[in-house]
Amino acid sequence: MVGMIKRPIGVWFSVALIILVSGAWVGSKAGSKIAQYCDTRQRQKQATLHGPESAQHDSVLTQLYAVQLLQLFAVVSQNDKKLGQKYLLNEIGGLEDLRRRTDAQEIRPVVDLYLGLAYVDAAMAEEHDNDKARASKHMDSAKTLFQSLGWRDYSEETLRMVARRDLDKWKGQPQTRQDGK
Amino acid sequence: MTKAAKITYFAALLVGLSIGGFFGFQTAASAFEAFYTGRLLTAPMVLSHFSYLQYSYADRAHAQAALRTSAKLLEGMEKLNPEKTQERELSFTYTRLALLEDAADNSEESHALMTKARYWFTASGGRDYSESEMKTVLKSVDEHLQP
Repeated sequence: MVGMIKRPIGVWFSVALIILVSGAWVGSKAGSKIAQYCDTRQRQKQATLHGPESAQHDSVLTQLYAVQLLQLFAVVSQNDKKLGQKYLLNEIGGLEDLRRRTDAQEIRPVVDLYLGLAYVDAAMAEEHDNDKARASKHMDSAKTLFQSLGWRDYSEETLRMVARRDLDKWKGQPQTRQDGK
Repeated sequence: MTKAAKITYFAALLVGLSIGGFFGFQTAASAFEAFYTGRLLTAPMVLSHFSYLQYSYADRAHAQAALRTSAKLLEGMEKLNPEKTQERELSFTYTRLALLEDAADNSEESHALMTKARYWFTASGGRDYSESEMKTVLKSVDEHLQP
């Protein structure tokens, strides 16, 4: 302690504080890595216990979660025009990527349906902005998808009505039989 | 450097590492927990929405395919993580499949599907409704949801 007192106490305190903060930073990184490692180990254990089926279902769960999150971000940001457009295009891009993935073929019709709805949402937003060319392009893409999904009626009116009802559901508006008509 | 300084710095490092490690681990573990819980909650919702829309708007073959895909995925999830929402959704999915079979006059297949629907409905904590009661309830739910 005599050695420490020889220097100003502020210097010792600052050095100790820097070491403490740096230690905490390194520790938090290490703690996060350890948690990640534990999680991976647990997943591997589960996969060994339940077989490859478990890994497949794990992947499906993650993909469905991604589908829902992409839609959620697009819906909640709708009140802000710029942000809404950004997240809507993000949803379309994310779903198009997911659609192309070979490990997501099991849920491809699900992705197609959500992508179709996102195209309709985009078309409605673009029509609102008088961007008719883009709106028509997105609506055509939506129609192609819903046709491939076997929809009996994939007219613009029906698709708009379904998309609007879907948005109302998120906004918490009551759904009556007259909605969207 | 004096011995006291070494001890002080070492103690600071140890305390820093411990606190940071603890909070880093906790934060990451909570994030993983939220992710896995979120997945379990959202997957049945997404499948429910998909199968309902396909059942309502698609032709018979596509509606059937959608409902069968949903049932298969939900049963897979159920095997790994039994959840009441999944079980309820499974019972609705099988009832809708049975209704499609009814429309095609396949009463035997419809009955087999309704057995599964009733099983999942009671597994989810619901009452043991008869086949016709379950179909009536689901029809009225779907009618309400229909535009």
